[in-house]
Amino acid sequence: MNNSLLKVEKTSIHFGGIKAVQDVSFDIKEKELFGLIGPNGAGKTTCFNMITGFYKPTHGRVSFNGIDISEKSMSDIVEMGIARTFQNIRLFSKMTVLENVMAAAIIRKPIHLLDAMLYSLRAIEQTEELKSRAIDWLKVVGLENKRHSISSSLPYGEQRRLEIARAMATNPKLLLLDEPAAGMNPTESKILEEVIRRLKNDFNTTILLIEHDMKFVMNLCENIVVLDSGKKLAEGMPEEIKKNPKVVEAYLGVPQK
Amino acid sequence: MGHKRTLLLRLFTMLGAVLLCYAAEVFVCLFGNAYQERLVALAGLYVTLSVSLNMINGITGQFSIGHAAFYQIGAYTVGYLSLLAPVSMGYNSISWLAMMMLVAAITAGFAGFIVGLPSLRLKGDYLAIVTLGFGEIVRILVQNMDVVGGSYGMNVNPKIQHLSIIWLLAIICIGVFRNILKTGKGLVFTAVRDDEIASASVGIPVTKVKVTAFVMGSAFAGAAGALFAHYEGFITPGAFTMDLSFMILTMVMVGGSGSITGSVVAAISLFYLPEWLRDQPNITAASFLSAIFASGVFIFTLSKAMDRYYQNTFQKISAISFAVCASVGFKYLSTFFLELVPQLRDMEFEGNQLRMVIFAAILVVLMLIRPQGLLSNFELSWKGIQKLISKTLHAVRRGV
Repeated sequence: MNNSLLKVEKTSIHFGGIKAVQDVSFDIKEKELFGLIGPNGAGKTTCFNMITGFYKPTHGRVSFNGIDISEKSMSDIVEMGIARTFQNIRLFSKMTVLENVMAAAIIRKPIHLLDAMLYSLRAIEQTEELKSRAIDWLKVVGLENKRHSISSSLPYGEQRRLEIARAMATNPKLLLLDEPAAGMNPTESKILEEVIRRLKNDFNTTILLIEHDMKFVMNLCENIVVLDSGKKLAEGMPEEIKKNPKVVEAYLGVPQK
Repeated sequence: MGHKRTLLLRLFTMLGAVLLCYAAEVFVCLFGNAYQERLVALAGLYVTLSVSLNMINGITGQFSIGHAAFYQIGAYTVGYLSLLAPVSMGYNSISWLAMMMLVAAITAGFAGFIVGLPSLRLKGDYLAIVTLGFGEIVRILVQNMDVVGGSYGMNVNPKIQHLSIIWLLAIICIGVFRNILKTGKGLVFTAVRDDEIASASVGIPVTKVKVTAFVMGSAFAGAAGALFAHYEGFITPGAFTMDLSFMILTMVMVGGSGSITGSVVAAISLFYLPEWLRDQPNITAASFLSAIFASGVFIFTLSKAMDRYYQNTFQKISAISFAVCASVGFKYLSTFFLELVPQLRDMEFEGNQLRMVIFAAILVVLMLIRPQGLLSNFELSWKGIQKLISKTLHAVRRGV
């Protein structure tokens, strides 16, 4: 019924002798919440880095909306509509919350350098527009009251949400979240869950997320791929994954009675 | 309506800047001697140089230490052109200067592009080494080019000494970079400074941004070089050594990398400081030693006091004044005791000889007390001044 948005076809990434990702393929459909799980070192983040163009796949190809993006640069890929967050938060630490989001929104509303040099009326208008867009995104993640604080002074959970707002400010079709709930307390991850649902429902964003918090993933995701030491172990709906003996053995473990 | 007003206001500001520069030139020429005039001119050039380096180092976070090279490229471009067109082809001096400035800026900007494109992919120390090397390469290259006089230097005709143009360039340089930072475009540069990978992840073309900053910075340095060449009327490679690069870098660091206001303040004060120190009277070894001890005491007490009392401005001010009092007291006390030793009392240093020592000591002290630079991230703005005034008024009213 839905078209596939991101297609990862038989990709491998080798770092010298280390095969971080081997022959992994999956398909993400539009407006889907897709989970990528697996034990540490399974190659999940490497997969992210490959999709966003930080690494080039050694074999195979990644295509987005039918266009091959495996050789494109990071900024081109963002422009096509893929945005990401990082496992260890990477904010612009000396800038304010608002500036963080504005810096991302600028690729959809570029300001010409000459305009900026002359502080032309157009540049002023565009800056105002950037600001209002950024504030809209901060409202979505519930940070509009903190817009003037320096981003590194925010508590952890809010930094995570700010990073999501920053990624969303590039108007992506596909959002990649690298362990968004890591280190969060239950309240914070509850808020995050709502934010992610809102992104999907209100903004038609497709979301691919890596997460170790199984409750979080199983609640949220519609489809899950399990990676183990670089290989795809299983794929399917949360219910199937939970029961899959291979996944249970490699990652989930047997529940204690 | 609003737009028209802003444009008109801006026109007036520009006119005001021109008039101010011109008035300053007239004032300096009327009341100053040739030495003071030269200092004012060079201070203007240093302001341009440090602000333009700040765009590269402080705002975009690329550690470049070869800024003198672009200054030199600008100066020698103009010098070479003056060989080709010896009588400035009948243009009046100001339009000729403007033309030369443009040509020099383009040449230096192009050089910046050529150097920047491959080397800005490097990070931190590596970029520093490349720019340092480039600076030396340019200087030595010019030293061995007979067309431009080699190490003897060359005359640049005509000699045009307009203080107003020099300061106008400084103001334009400050204005352009301030404007960029006031719009959303400025965030692109600061984003690259804060985190390159995160910048790339939100679609900022990192290399392009770095090269842009580098080209802009070197273009302004080139324009300053053109003015320098015409101001001096004579240039040698010896005027563009590594020392100059480091001096500019020091200005940026002392002023607070990232703060344009800081660069301006630091450029003027660091340029004037060694000149001002020339006039110092001779001092005895005793008082010199005690001054060194006293600055040690100053740093010590200040850091101790700041550790304890840092909550509000009032406490900070009292901590600083306490440190000042303690160190001054210590200075007099230790001078008294040191002068009991006859050797220390009778040995005299010439103020002039000590000036570089004192200059260096001041830098060391400054970096120890304020590693983030004098003004760190502060920018002077009308809004800030208005806020300060209203805040003070409010405080005064509440006090009454």
